[in-house]
Amino acid sequence: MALVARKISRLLVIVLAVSAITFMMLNALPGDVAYVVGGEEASEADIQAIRHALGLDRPVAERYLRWLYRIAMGDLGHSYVNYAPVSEAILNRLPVTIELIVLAQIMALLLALPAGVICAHTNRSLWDRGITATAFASLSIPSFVMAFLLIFCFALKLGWLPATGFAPLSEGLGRNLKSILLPAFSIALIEWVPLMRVLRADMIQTLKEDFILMARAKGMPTWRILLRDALKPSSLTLITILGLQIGHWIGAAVVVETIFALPGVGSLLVTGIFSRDYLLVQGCVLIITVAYVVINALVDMLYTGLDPRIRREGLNV
Amino acid sequence: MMAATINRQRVAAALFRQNGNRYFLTFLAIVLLLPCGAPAEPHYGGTLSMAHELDAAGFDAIKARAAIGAGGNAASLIMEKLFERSAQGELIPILGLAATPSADGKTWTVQLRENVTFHDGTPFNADAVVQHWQRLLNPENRYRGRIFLGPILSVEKTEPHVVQFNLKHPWIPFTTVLTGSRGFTSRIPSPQAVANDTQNQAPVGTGPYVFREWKRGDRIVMEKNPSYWQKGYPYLDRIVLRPISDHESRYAALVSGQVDMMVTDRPVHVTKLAVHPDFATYMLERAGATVMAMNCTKPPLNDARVRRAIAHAWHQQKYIRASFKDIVPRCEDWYGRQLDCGDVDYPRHDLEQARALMAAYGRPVEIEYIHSATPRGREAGVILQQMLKEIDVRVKAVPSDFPGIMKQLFSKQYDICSWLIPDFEDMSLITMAAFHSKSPWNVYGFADPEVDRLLRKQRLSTDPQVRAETLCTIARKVNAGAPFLYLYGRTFYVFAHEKVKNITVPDHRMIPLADVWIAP
Repeated sequence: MALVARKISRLLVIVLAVSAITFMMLNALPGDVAYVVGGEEASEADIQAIRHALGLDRPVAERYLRWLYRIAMGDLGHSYVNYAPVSEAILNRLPVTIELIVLAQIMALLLALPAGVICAHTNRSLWDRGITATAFASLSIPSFVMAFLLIFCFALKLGWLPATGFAPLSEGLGRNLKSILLPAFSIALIEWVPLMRVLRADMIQTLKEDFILMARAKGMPTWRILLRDALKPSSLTLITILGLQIGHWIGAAVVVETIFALPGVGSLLVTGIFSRDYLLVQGCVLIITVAYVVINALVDMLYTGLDPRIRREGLNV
Repeated sequence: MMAATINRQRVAAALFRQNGNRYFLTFLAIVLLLPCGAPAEPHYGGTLSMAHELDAAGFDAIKARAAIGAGGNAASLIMEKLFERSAQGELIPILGLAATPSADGKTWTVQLRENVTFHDGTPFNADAVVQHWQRLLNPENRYRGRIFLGPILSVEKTEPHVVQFNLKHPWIPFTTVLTGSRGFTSRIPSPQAVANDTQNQAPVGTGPYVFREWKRGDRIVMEKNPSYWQKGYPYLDRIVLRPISDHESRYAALVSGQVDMMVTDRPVHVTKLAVHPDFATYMLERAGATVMAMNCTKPPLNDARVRRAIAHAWHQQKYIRASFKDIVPRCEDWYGRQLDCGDVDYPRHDLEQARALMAAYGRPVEIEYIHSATPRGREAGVILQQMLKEIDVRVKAVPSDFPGIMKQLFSKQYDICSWLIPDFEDMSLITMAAFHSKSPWNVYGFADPEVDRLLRKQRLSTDPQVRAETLCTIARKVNAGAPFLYLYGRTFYVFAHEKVKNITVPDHRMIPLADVWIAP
């Protein structure tokens, strides 16, 4: 219980620090949301009035504390630009980003797990080298280039999948999956590589362990040794990487959502940044930070399930 | 079909006019591909999907910062004006039936259409029009377009379906204010939706389409208004407007059939789609101009010799060729096709003249150019650097986003900055705002007492000929002061799948989707 409380307090500190840094950085940027709100026709007097109305003429620290107070009250505020509640804007878009990231993770794992196992099992063989070369080639392509390549092949040339847009689940599972497959695949095609590499490296070590030798001596089939005995202890680093990569996945989602015109949190964040909609950006960053630290906390807890030694020793991970 | 034919010819002819032999093959190809045959009967039903670069910014005149992108188009389908304007300048009745000026020209009486209701059931009447206009004119509401409504003093109800506009003085552009497509000025919203503060997110009007959903960044959905007052209209069941900011993605969405229409100004897509057999091309030639503003209040550009030297060193046609592959027109004034002023004395590309002016100035010049943080902005920066190198002016190109550019411009903390002169149905409105020395819109800091006098003269003039001549003189005087460099005339392209019928291109701004139907 004490461990959980300590963890939660650590997480709160991280969230506070990230939100404070983001707030300061946003305020240090050139430009002013009042000019966006005021539009082309606004005079300097209009701009000053808008700044006053939005509270932008108050000190940054005071504004940050006010924002924190409102967060504590469960209010993310209203967008400076279109006056819509920030929480509503984020909640409307969160399912799209979650679906995109989860599907991309599943795809990446579907690629990484068999590839990692095959590479470890056939270490330094032609298979291993071929898969590794493919992986590095895939990793060297930026996500936006990958996205355009996939659009060109699957939407423009083959016409199998839509080039842009998102069909919500309410329009049917088939349409929903069709709309999200290409964006998820363009993230997965890059993100599967580190997963495959760590799994391969860990599994090569595991396959040298005595209990594997024992299993082989007992005449157990190779597939069983690989998938039942070696995979589980080899996936500890893989799980860690999955947690740590969340930030990277979200970064990729920002780019991919813009290219595929998906109404997710990533594209909302981009819109907010370009229009200097501080509250919107703060809200998005807060949600992303919370997601990041919670997922990593869950990964920490998952260790104990995967490795009994951690559970026994009560290791402070 | 006929509309598509006409517009194909227009775009091809325009390309040919601008570029001569360079686009001759394109011209030939387009003419050969012209569709032919009699106009078909309208077909009812179906969904039209159109891609825009930008999402809406809201739909309420006071709260939304602009009627931009998909938002402008959606507003035109949901909310109606009192009148439209024909190509000949006559008023076409919509929610208004007739507009009659008084003998002294200081009041206009507008007879309104009866038996029209807003989508929420609120009756359309004089109260709705008066409430809308009082909101716009009330200084406390800080309506951003109020600067362009200066001569309108008040609007009052005289009968249940009659309103009266009271003006400070006779004002020729008054009717263009009623018919304008810029912003929300001319579109009458439901007074109930405004009172409930829902208009900005869920607009209610009297138009042929009813607002259904606005999923920000994804789509705006409208459905046919079953009780629309114009019987037999509209044709489509549903219109979906999709903001797709990335140009390549927008192009891919059109070509792969996910959207039926799209707006673009990217040369690579324009040249590909203009000769594509599946798509019709529509060119929207707007008035206004995209410019590089020069700050007349800050050294060294407060010296007219330096500004004129830079204008002489700038080669507009080379810039257009490099950055736009000649798909946009040159311009030397901001009136577009509204007013033909002939030669307006803008400094021509002349390096000798430029060097002589710099020699007369006699000091080294280093300036900063603030441009948009986009590939096109960077391109403009590099081109400006290269061109001004010829006259030993050093340019530091500084990328900035939109809020940054706005701040620099309006606080006049820049040397040269990307800017535009937007298009209006009557360009005298923006001319007054942009070049009067006391106007907050005068971001150049341009001040010429003679121009101020001429601006007042054209505003008060009731003689169209005198007004036109005065506006041309203003253009010449402004050009002589060179407060900006012309980049290009504002032109956009709309591409539509051939199955989309009855598209007509207005002189200004938006494609009227309300008349469109889709072939089965």
